[in-house]
Parts: sequence; structure tokens; C-alpha cells
Amino acid sequence: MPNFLEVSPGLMFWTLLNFIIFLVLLSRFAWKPLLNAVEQRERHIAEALSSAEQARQEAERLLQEAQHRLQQAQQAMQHLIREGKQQAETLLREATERAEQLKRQKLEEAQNELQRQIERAYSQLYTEVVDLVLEGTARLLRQSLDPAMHRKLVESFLSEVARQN
Amino acid sequence: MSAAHTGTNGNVFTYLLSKLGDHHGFYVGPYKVLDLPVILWDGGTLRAYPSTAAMEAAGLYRMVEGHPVRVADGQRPALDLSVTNLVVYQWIGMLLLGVALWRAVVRYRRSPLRPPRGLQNILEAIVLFIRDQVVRPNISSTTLSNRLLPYFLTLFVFILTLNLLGLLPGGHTATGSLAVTGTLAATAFTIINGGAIASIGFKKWLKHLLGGGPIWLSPILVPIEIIGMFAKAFALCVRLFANMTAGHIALLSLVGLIFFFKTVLIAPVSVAFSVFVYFLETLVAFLQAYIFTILTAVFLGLASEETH
Repeated sequence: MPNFLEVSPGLMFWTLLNFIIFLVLLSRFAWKPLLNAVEQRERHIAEALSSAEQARQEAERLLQEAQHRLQQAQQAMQHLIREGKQQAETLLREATERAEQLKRQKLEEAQNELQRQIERAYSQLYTEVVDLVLEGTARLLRQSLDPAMHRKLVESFLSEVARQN
Repeated sequence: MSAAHTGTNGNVFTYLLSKLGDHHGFYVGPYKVLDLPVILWDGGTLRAYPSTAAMEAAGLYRMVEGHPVRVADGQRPALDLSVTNLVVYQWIGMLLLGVALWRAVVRYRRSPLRPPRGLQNILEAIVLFIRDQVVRPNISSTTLSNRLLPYFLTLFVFILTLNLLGLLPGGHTATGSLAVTGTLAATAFTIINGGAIASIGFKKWLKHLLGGGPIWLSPILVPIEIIGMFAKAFALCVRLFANMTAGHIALLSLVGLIFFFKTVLIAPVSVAFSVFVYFLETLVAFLQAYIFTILTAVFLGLASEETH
């Protein structure tokens, strides 16, 4: 039998001894801490991943909320602007109307006043003219005409003037 | 190349094959580097000598064809417990692995959450591979797989290291010896059946011996199952041994061609094929360590199943 096919009991004994010592030593001092460390890291990585996922979801939620709020703010702003414009327009219209009204009123008042003044001036003028004419005529014709006759003449003349005016 | 070699070209192969087995003394390649102690258990007494030379000088035993025999009747002693070449190679492998693992463990202790680097990374990849691809998918019981995980890890790295040590220039392959693979297969046999009994109990383990057949078939099935149990372990032993030895024989044959044909022209062919076989052997070194481990796990998984 060739050398390499031999089964030596001594080698079996040593192999068994080596393997068992190796198994006991490695189990206690190598595999246990190694497997523990690996499991610890696996847990750590799993936790980190799940917390990252949570953070991502939270961030997404916040972003959506912010976008929503921004949209709301924009809408509110546009609403405000529109309202302000409308208000300004109404105000302007109202002011214009009031001014117009006021202007018309003032104008009317002024016209009325003017009319009154004119009328008063007319009546004053009338009496004064009458008086002046009376006085002038009287002075001129103190003796020639009796007052009643005189008056009648002047008044007819005057009414003629008024008609012409 | 020398006259001595060309003169013995017919025996080159047998000469080289004789280098494959176990030897008294520590060898690197074909060269004896160190004397190793000879321990003999014979006739109820334990005798230890620091070297074969010292043993022969003591006068009770002498070396014949690489084995100590009694001077008186030429018979071998009852038990040769000598520290031999392959025992030393196992020690070297254990030492290298121990140092590597120790460094990895120290680094884990210092910073358990940091990603692994270098050697630590390789070891962690192996550990995770054995745990997630070999042990857990095959052994359904979590408690059993967790308790036996150190055995499978040790088995894998032990076989792998010995396989790879044999590929180093001058290295001898401890797993290329039937005694070593047989012992490893015996531990696998123990683990398979011990684990099954511990997991499902002795009664159910006995029921497995029926192979799921009816009770009246037991005279046929029970012997078959018992033979199967041993055949599995035997196959583990022979598979690893044959795979590790075959590559070496192929390499030796290729180199032997040069001396057989007595021409240097064949050398390029030999070298090219040797390199190819060497790469193949590297693959086989990993593959066989994996196969031995996963088959043990598969057999244990089958044996510890609740229902057949």
C-alpha cells in the first residue's frame, strides 16, 4: 500500500486532539465575540436604516406641510391684493362721485346765490334808478309836472325798459 | 536531470508518491527541516524520544520504510503517537488562523461598529457565509443551528487552512491524509447524530432509521439506513482526501513527464499544465472545504427534521 493511503491511528489521535482544542478555543475566544460583534453591527445598521427611513418620511411630511402653507399664504396674499384693489377702486369711485356731487352742489349753490344777487341787484337797481330818475326829473321839471302825472310817466317808461330786457 | 534521476526514471512516480504521505519529522517540500519527537505506546509502556535518531540510538526500535519497528521482532509498535509532519502542519494552520482571528477579535473589541478591514473583512465574509448560506438554510431549528455554528465555522476554516497550506510551495496537505479526513468525518458523524438526538430526541431519531417506511419493512430499511449513516461520513472522508490528493498526483505526474521522456522539450507543456492544475487546486481547496461543511449541515438538517 502506498504511503499516502495509510491510516495512522497516531495521526487520527492528534488530529482529533487538535480539532477539539481548536474548536473549544475558537468557540470561546473567536467565534463568540466575532458573531456578537457582527450581530451587534447588523442590529446597529438595521436601526440606522429604519431611523433614516423615519427621518426621510418626517422630512417629506414637513416639506409637504411647508409647500401647503406656502400655497395657502400665496392664496391669502392674492386674495388680499384683489380685495385691496377692489377696495381702492370703490374708494376712488366713491370719492369721485362725492367730489362730483359736491362740485354740482357747490355750483348750484353758487348759481342760486348769483341769481339771488342778481335779483337783488336788479331790485336795488330798479328802486335806485326809479329814485334817481324821480329825483333828476323832479329837479328838472320841478315845476312843470305834478308828481302823480310824473310818476305815471316814469313807471310806464320803466316797465318798457324791463320788457326790453 | 542528473544521472541519478535518469537512472531511476521508472521509479520517479513511486518516489514522488511516497512524499505525499505522513512522515516522522517536519518537512518542507522533500527536505527534512526539523526532528520531531517519537512517542510509542507499546506493551503497556509509553516511550518518548526527541527524534528518530535518538530512538534508533536507544536501541529498542529502528526505522523501516518510514515507520518505527521493534528491533527484536521487526513488528510495528501497538500505537505510534509520534508528532508527525502533518500534525505540525495542523499546528501551523491553527497558529496562523488563531493569530488572524485574534487580530480580528481585537479590532472588533476596539470598534465593534466600524466596517471591517483587510483580514478582518475576509474572516467576517467567511463567518457570514457559513452562518447565512450553509448553517441557517439547512438546519431549521434555530437553537440547534446557533449552538452548532461554532463547530461548522471551525470545521470550515480548519479544512480550508490545511488545504491552502498544502498549496504553499513546500507545504504538505494535512487534508490529503485519510487519517485526518477520517477524523474530521468522525466528528461530523458525531455532530450529525448527536445533534439530531439532542434536537428531536432519541425516539424520533430511531424512527428516522425506518426511513419513513412501514414497520414490516424494518428488517430491510434499518440496515440500509444504518449503512447510509456511515456511508455519508465515509463519503465525506474519502471525498476530501481524494480531491486534495488528486491535484497533487496530477502535479507530480506532469512534472514526472519531464523525467519519463528524458527531454527538456516537454517542460513547457508540463509547466503550463501544472500552473493550470495549481489554479484548479486553489479552487478545489475552497470548494472542498465548503462541500464538507455544507454536506455536514445538510445531513444534520435531514437527521434533525421533525417529520420524515
